[in-house]
Amino acid sequence: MKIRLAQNTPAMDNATPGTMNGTMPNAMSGGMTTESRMNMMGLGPMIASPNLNAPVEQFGATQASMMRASGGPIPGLREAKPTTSAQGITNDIAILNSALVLEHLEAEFYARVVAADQARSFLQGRQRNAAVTLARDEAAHVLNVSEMIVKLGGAPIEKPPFQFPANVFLSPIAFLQLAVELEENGVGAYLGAAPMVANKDVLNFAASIYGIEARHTGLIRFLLGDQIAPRPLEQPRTIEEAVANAAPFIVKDIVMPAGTG
Amino acid sequence: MPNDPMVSPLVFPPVTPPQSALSRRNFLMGAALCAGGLMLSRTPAQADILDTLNKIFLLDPTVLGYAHEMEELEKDFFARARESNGYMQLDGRERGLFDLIARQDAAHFQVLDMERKRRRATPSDTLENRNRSSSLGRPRFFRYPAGVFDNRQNLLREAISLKENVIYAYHGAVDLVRDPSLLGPAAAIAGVESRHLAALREIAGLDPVPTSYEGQVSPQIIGQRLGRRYGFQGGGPRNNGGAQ
Repeated sequence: MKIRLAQNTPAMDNATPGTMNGTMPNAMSGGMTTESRMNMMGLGPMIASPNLNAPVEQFGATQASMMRASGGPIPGLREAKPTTSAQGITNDIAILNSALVLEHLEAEFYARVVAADQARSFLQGRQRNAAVTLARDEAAHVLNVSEMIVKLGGAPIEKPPFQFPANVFLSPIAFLQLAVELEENGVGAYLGAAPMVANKDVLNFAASIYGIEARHTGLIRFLLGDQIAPRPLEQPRTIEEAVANAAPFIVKDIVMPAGTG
Repeated sequence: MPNDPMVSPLVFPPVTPPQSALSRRNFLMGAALCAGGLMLSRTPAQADILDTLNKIFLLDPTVLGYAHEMEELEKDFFARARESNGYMQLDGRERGLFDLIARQDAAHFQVLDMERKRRRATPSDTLENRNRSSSLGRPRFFRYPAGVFDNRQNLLREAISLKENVIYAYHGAVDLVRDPSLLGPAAAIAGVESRHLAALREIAGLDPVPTSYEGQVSPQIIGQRLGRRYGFQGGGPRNNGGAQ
C-alpha cells in the first residue's frame, strides 16, 4: 500500500519559523492545500525542525524502561507469533504499519514540544507534565509497534520527516489543541481497525495502546478546559481517514514496505 | 432516562438463549473446559468443533451480562456520588466532571441494556430484587463501604478505584469476546472510561497516565473484587438484590 502524502519541498529543509515555503497538496483532502487546511484550523505557518532526529533521541527507550513504563509485560507483545493465516498476518502488518505512522507522528510532536519547552519554558506545570508523559508513552509505542511488526515477519515503516505549525512550540493552547487532534485521530484509528485485526495477540496489544491513547485524549481535553469526552462512545475512523488526517504533518511521500498489502 | 440521541441502536444477529441461566452457567463452564483442552493443539477439524461449541454455548452473552452489570454499578455509584457530601466538597469544574461521567455511564448502561434486550438474553435478576427501595428512593442493588461518599478525598479515591477495575476488566475480556460485532461497542465504551479515569486521576493530583500500556486483569478477578466491595455478581443470578 503506497501512501501518497505531501510533496517534498526542498525549501522546507531551511524553513524559518513564521514562513511558509510553497503549498503541500494533499491528494486525500479533496484538493485542499495544506496551507489552506492549516488556515482553516487556525494554525500558523509550518516549520520543520532542522534536526529531525535529535528531539526524539532523549526518549529512545530500552526494553527495561519499557517494562517500567508499562507497569509489567506489554499485553500481547511477548506472546505474539504468526499463528494466524498468511493473509491475516499480512493484513495485521499493514494495520500496524499504519498505526506506526501515527505513533511516529505523535512521538515526534511531543518530543519537539518538550525540547521547545526546555528551551523557552512556554508550558506551565501540568501542561509540561503532560507533554513529558505523552512523549514517553508515544516513544514506547513506536518502539513496541515496530517490535510487533518484526515479530510477525514484517518490516516497520521508516519514520517520515514531519512538520508542525510554529505556534505549537510557543503557545500552550496551540500545543494542546493540536495534541487533541492527534490523539483523537489515534483513538479513532485504533478503534476502527480493531474488528479487522486477525491475530488475537495483536488485538490485545493494540487494545492496550488504544486505552492509553484514550487516557491521553481525556487528559489533554481536561487541561484545555474542554469536555473530556464529547460523546459517551468513542467514534471509529477508517485507517485511510486516520492516515489522511496525518498527511498535513508529513513532508515526504512514504511507501509502505513490500508485503504489507 | 430519555434516550440519548448520541446512543444509536446496535444491530446484531438474534440469539436464542438457553432456558435456565443456572444450567447455562454449568454448561458454559463445561464448554470452557472442553474448549481449553481443544485449544492446546488444534487441527482444522478441531478448530471447527471449537467454533461450533462457541456458538452453541453462547459465550458472548455471559460477557455481555457482566459488562451490563458493571455499567449498572458505575451508573449507580456516580448517581449516588452526585447526591453526596463528597460531591459538595468538589469545586465547580470537578462537579462538572462528575456530572459528565454520571451521564455517560448511564448512557453506557443504556447501550448494553438495549443490546441485552435485543439479543433476548434472560435478565439475571428478578424484578422483586431490583425494586427493594433505599432511603434514596431507588432500587437497592449495590452496597458501598462506609464513608466513601463522605468527603472529596474518599469520593475521588473510590471513583478512581472503580474506574480502574472497570477498564482492566474490559481489556481483560478482549480474548473472551467471540462475536466481533460485540467487540466494537465494548471498545467504544472502554475508551471513554479511560478518558474518565485520566481526568479523575488528574483532579486527585495523581499521575493521570502512570503506564504506557493499559492494564488488563481477568474479568473473573475483577468480579471477585467488585463482588467483595459492592455486591457485584458478574451478571449472574441474584440471590438477595444487594445488602443494607
